[in-house]
Amino acid sequence: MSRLTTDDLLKIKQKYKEEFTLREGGYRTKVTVHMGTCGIAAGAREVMDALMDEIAKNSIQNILVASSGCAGLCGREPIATVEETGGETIKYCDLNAEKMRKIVTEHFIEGKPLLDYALPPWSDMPFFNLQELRVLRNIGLMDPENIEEYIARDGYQAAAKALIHMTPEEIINVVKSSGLRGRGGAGFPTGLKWEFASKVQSDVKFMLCNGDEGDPGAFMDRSVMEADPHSVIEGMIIGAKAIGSHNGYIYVRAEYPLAVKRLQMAIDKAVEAGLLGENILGTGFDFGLEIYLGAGAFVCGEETALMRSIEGKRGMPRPRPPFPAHKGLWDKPSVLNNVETLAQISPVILKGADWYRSLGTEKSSGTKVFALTGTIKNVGLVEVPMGIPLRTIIHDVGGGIKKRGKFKAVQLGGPSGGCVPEHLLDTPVTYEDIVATGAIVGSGGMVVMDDNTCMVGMAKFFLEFTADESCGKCPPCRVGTRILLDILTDIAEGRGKEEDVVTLEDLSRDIIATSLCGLGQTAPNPVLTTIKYFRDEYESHIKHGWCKAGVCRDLCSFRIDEKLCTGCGACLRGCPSKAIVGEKKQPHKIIQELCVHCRSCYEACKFRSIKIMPAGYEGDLSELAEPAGAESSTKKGEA
Amino acid sequence: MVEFTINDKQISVENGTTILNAARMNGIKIPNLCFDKRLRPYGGCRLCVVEVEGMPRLFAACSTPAAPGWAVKTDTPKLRKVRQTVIELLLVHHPLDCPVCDKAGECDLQDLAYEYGKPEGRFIRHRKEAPPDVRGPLIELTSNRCILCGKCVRICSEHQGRGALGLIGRGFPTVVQPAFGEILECDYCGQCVDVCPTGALLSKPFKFKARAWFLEEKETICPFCGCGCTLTLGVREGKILRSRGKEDVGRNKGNLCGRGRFGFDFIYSDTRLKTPLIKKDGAFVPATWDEALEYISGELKKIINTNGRESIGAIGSHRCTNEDNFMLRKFMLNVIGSNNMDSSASFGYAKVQKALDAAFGLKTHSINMDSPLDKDLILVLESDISITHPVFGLNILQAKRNGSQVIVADCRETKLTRHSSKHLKMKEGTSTAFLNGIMKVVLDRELCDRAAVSNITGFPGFEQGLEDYTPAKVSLITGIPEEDIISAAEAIANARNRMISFTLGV
Ligand SMILES: Cc1cc2nc3c(=O)[nH]c(=O)nc-3n(C[C@H](O)[C@H](O)[C@H](O)COP(=O)(O)O)c2cc1C
Ligand code: SF4
Ligand code: SF4
Ligand code: SF4
Repeated sequence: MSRLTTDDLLKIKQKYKEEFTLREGGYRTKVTVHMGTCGIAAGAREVMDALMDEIAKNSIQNILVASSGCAGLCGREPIATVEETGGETIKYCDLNAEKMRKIVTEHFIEGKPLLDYALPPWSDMPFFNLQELRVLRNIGLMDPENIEEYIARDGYQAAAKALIHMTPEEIINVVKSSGLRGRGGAGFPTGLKWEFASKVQSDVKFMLCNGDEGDPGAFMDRSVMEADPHSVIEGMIIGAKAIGSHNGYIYVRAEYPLAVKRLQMAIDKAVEAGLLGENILGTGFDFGLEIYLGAGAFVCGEETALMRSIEGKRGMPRPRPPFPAHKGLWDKPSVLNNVETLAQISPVILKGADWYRSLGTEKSSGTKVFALTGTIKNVGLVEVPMGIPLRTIIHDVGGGIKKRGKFKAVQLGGPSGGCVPEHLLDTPVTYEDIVATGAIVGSGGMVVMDDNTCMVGMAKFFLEFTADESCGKCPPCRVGTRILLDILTDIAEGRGKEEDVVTLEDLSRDIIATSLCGLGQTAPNPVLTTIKYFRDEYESHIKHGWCKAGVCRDLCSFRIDEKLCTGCGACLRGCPSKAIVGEKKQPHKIIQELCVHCRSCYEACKFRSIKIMPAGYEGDLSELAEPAGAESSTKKGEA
Repeated sequence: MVEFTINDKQISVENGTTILNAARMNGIKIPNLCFDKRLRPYGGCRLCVVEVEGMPRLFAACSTPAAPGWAVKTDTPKLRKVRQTVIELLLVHHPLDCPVCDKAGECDLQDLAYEYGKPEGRFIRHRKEAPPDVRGPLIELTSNRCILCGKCVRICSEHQGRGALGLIGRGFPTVVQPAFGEILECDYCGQCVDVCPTGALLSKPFKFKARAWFLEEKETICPFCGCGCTLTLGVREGKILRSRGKEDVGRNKGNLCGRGRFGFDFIYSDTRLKTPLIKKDGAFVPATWDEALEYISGELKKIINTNGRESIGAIGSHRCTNEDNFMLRKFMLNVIGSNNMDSSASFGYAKVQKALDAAFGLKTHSINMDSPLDKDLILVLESDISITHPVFGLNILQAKRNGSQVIVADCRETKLTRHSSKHLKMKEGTSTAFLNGIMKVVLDRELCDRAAVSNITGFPGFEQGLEDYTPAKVSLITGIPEEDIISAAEAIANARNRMISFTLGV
């Protein structure tokens, strides 16, 4: 591709508009197979192969086949979107090669859409209609490997506007008044960050993008980098102009090979088109961009550690000041922004601050992408206006809890965040309101948990992560998280002591007060919030040796309530260790010595007659309805 | 200037001064384990946290600049509580083997634990179980005692310019190790041993020699090179057991090289002369000092009487202190009445001295150790200063870190070439041509105040002498590319201030 001018951008847009209006392009149908990491993992390649194969075999002419990024509903991948002239758009989900072949025959050849395989129409699904796609505006709707498709969707218009018609101050003012706050976790106002760096005099400055995404369970940034890499690059060009930088890096973890590939392709194409490198769009502005592969340490997402890592040093945070706006990468003024933050810059520039503020609240404007996972029906990426209640996200967008479980809590902000219980579900999703609950908005991980989750186990899971990921620089985090983990492990394995909960809280507060970086300062949040909202669970573990969720293996036993058991045998059939005995239609029994606590009977019983009791409990099941009834003798060790 | 208070004491410091430095200047103690004046603030140990009135957060004093109007408190119940926790956590993985640790008695960790620790730790699990690394000849590393303050790693890479130690792993299992876990191979300056606040890095020769509280400390000047560093000797029952540098003491300000720190063992060598010897019947025989002095003065008198004062000469040594050499001179002039003096330095510096005398009329040139620190540009000529004058070399490295340009012209790869802004690889012994070339470029391109230099006597002749030293010719002689000669000349001429540094043999 030759170097582009602003006119060319418009021409490409026009050309695509014409071609892709299906009729004019001569196509009847456009099929898009979504090939994000989630889709590919679920088998999108086989689906694509089957589609191409069938089309060739049947010599179908008028179908346009395209691939694209994640469609947002990762739990239902592989997904293919079918657009037809005059017809309704249909999204086929949970596909495999066989289904695809059938779709080709019945839908494309015989003209009968296979509604059994399709999602309900878009407008009927809260999953889609409650969402507002700004960050995800292009995702799943274009081929990320084709720069022209991005340009056709208004791509690089904002960069052109910023480079040609706007001064750095004007750019900064728009971003400032949009109220956009950094989406990487801390929520620092982006415009302000740019302003600080723009005011520092230096011939070399760096514009950096944080694509490290280390939170377990988060995949917003990966999806954007994979499915809309140019939006990140365009955001960086605009930021570079604002702060006066001519060099940039995108820091991506090496575990994201597809994101790296797409970003590299996008950079190469943009350079070829004169949208990166020297004299961008003939404006005389230079901005060179490179990818830096991170080795996948969580702490390398922290800004000072990330900069050390790019310098080739040990990725270890250092104290601020000096702030990166003064001394960042190689001691030069630097701005680091998150992927999601940058992806929103071009619409802000094109549509203005008021448009951006039209969604969200006064202090938390715009939208936020969440990675919805856990025991929820609609697993995937959702983008919602800030300020909507958590309940709406979980119950409406997310479709509520899977199977017969009951909502227990939602973990926000991954290992740095905390859990929010049922009674706080009406909390609006804003930076301030969420912090008041003890959790954080964070980068947008949202793990929904039902009553089969043990909160001690949950806290332990996150502490295992942070204790392992602590860089080791400062003692409160390096040793403190390890001690928290030890105590939690003791509680989960039946060695808990009465004073443990107090120790956990006390040590947590000291770790928060003294740690150097955000990792240590937030690592105890899962401990503090689970204690705050589920103290009874800790006490039940410690005092009664009883993990009521039946997760901590040493602190539970599975018993069949004879009064409820119908003798259907479902449990018996599912038990992998043949621990269940009983005649048909007679109450069954679990032989405790053989039970391996796998929970399959608990899940299998339709009559809920399997009860989770303290380990070694032998008494009457009804006696234990109240935890107070669980007298000591049931403690592990004595049992 | 910033006006603020620490513990209600009014304090005024320059902008940008950290709270910890302000406190130190005012004699206020804030506990810390990872601070060293020579290093960048690290903010790792978290013990220096302080409270600022009206702010909910705690601030690490070592890395927070004081702000106007702040009321800083360094010792409050809240601070005592969190410091106690931090020490408690540090002691979780410490083996508490103080009875067999040479550091006991002068160990920062021990002192702080004594001040802040609780009699009983809440957390007793997790000792580190790494065997001590005793493979190296001079330094022992007992990781279990290490609190990961990173001082050794930083003094070695940031200050010593060596980088022989690193932090390996992350989180709780992190340890300090020589590169690739191999035997420590480095400058053996021992700076890491001095900065270690615990008994993790210890001097091997000093191992189990004496408890710290039995040592008497005496200061002396190192005999090894012209830097004249102050050694703090640890002496017990008249025997020197160790030598170390002490913060702010001497021209070396606590820095020492391997020779000064470990090189004193020769004094206890079996082959060392311990008494004067007098030659009797063709063989040297031990004598007492009284006998020897009497013999010498007798002989000197005899010679003066027979051959005159001028027939006596004395040879001093650059291994002696200036004071010793001065005494020798005084003795020769006033007592003997002879001007015949020389020094073992004639083989090295004396030629330089002569040249300096001839060119600039400089007869003495006592060197200011700190001179590199305020220079924008330092040109090092064919000198491996980090070896010949290690502690002076450290100041060149420090100047570089502070942003000075360091150009090194040398045929070798040395520590300085590795840290230089520009290494000009030149053929051995071609410094003169190189300097002539630089001067020619400076004059030809009018990079100096020609009017001023033209007034110097002999200038026309001098300039004429440079005639042949065109960059092309100099490049041929020195092997340095022409453009490098020109850009070096420009850099030197354009620097606000500059120095040329060289040692023996140029
Ligand atoms: C331990 C730790 C890990 C972090 N990981 C990430 C990350 O993976 N991605 C990210 O964008 N920000 C991460 N951050 C936040 C960054 O330090 C930084 O605030 C952010 O990238 C700034 O971009 P923003 O202003 O656009 O949010 C992390 C912070 C900490 C303390
Ligand atoms: S808080 Fe943890 S991750 Fe952050 S610097 Fe300290 S040890 Fe490293
Ligand atoms: S002795 Fe000197 S060079 Fe060797 S590791 Fe220690 S500080 Fe580094
Ligand atoms: S060996 Fe000593 S100086 Fe080095 S990190 Fe450990 S405690 Fe600090």
